Amino acid sequence: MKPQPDEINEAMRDFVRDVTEIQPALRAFIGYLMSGTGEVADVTQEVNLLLWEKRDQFEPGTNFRAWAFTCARYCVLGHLRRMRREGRHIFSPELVDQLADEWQDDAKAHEKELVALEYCLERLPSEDLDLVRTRYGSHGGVQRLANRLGQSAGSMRIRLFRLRAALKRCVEQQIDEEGDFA
Amino acid sequence: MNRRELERLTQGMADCTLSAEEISTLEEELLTNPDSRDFYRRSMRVEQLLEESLHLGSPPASGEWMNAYMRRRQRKAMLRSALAAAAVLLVSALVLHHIFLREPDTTIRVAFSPGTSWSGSIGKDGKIAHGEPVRLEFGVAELNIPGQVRAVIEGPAEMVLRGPGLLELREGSGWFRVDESGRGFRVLTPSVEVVDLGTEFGLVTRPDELDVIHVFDGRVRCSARFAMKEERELRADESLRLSPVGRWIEQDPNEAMFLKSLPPKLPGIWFSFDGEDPLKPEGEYPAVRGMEVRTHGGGPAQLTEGVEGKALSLRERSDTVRTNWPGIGGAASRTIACWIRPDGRNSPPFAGIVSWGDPSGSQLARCNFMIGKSRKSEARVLRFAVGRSTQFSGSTPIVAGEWQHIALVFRGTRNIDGDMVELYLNGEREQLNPEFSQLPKDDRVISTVIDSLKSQPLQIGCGPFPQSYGGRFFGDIDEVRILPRALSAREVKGLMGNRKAASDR
Repeated sequence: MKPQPDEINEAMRDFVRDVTEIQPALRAFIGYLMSGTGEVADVTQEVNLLLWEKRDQFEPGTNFRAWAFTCARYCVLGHLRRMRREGRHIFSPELVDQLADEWQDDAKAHEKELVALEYCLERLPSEDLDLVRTRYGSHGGVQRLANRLGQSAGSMRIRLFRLRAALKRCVEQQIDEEGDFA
Repeated sequence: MNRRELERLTQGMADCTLSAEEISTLEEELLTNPDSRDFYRRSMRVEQLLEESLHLGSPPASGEWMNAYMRRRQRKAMLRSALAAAAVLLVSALVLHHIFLREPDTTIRVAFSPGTSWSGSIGKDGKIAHGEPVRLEFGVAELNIPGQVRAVIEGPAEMVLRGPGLLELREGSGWFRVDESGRGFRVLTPSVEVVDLGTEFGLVTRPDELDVIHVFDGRVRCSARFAMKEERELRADESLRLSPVGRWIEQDPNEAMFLKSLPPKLPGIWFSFDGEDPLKPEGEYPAVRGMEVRTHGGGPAQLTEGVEGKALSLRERSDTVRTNWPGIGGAASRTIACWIRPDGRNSPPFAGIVSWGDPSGSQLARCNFMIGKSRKSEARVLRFAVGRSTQFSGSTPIVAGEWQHIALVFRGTRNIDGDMVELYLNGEREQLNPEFSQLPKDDRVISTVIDSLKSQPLQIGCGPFPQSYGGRFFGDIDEVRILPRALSAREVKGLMGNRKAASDR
């Protein structure tokens, strides 16, 4: 029996909702595999397009997330191979394949990680928070901030290097501590 | 590979700054060392969290991926059923929006307070053009949708009317009063969306700060636009500030920080030291309301006969004045002016007259208008210390025991005449003395840090230090004015009023 229009619309809505829900995790996964390429946003959109075009191949009731990540993985590998053919210096597909195998996607962990990051960011002195926000908030922002504060961009980058390392330790510590009490 | 080197290469990878050789080194390490791969994976996870939280606009908002897809498909002329369904929904939403929300006249009219500096596309009838940004360098604008919305926006600000009932506030501090017929009015900042549910509220959005919202009457719904995208509904006398990951944190509401009507004069703070409460600040400026002012000793202000009415007399450390206002931060332009009568007997090398900001070794990002004694000539001249280590000194000796009008104009980044700072003595512009100054070597922006742990609030009669140790001024001070903009030479002279310096009488 052919599906009725209402059923088609509902399936489509579910699909749109599912794709929307996994956007942060999908972007994180693609960012992890394609780090250093500067093409994360484009490839994320490419993966979304691919998911939409292949939506008929997804079997409702199975794990949508796993299906989407598998599609993303092959899309990323395709891009990396093309970039290598173009002579770009990036990780080899072999390493990226291994990194993808070891990625741990956990939808529930994402919110905990964000809360841990919030805790750590809130404890930064305001000038350090400014620096971190500048790094992630705008292209060329660190140079502008250095100019504004009358400091050299080099010393800013050293401070930023330490801050990023400290933030990482803080986030992991928070998640570990929460795990201990969970 | 040691951990520091791995950290360096990992961060470099995230920044796209590694050379081909460094990428190969990192790849080799990751291929052969599972611990390094684990470190790399955990590092990149935090990098992605930071990107998601702090790179506003980068994380796709709900459904944004779908919009991007739609646009792509449109370009390829491959519109299919999904797009049709979405288009039908969109059209329906627009129709409903027009039917239920749109009133005959939703044009925003704008008026400015005297002296406001603005740019943008505004018609002769005062109407803001849709989609065209309006920027306030300083001053105040009042926006009006007749019968629906009244808003007062304080600069620096930038706003764009995006459509009926939708205002994009890219930067600024705004107070909004929405009537019943304007319900559903939305304000969009780079990081939040506020939907009015019939209310009065205030919203502050600044490029380097996290947004805050205060509700004074009725209700609003506010949604963070990034990371956790938390949505909250606020009622009267509630206030929230945004966390770095898009959650809302409760705080005390503060109605006093918003202007609710156009001030008749340009905003500023004025200490006249007259009246029953001589330390009470006056002027059209939100900070004036609720500002706490006291002497360092906690006792009453010591007063003497001033240029007009009474003046503040500073003889002891306990006489200096401390407020709870953090001052004007960043590189924002400002003018400080007052009358002074320095004591001839007690003249320390540096005597702060009006100050605030961070004086600590790491930042030295202060704003200190003072008198400095030249080591070479022993003469006391005007001096302005700003930012980390920059000092501008005047040339004309200050006369002890006589009233003199002094002013400082700081232009921040706006270097109109090639000068960042102008000093005025008795209404005349001072020639800067390069020997007694540390002038900026290039056109770097110089700023004041007002929100660090060591930042000091506005103080009168001493430098930006706690407990008024060091840098005290001995003498009398009157008619202190602080304005959040750079005055012209003519305006500075105007601050002297009809009074002339003692030397001119």
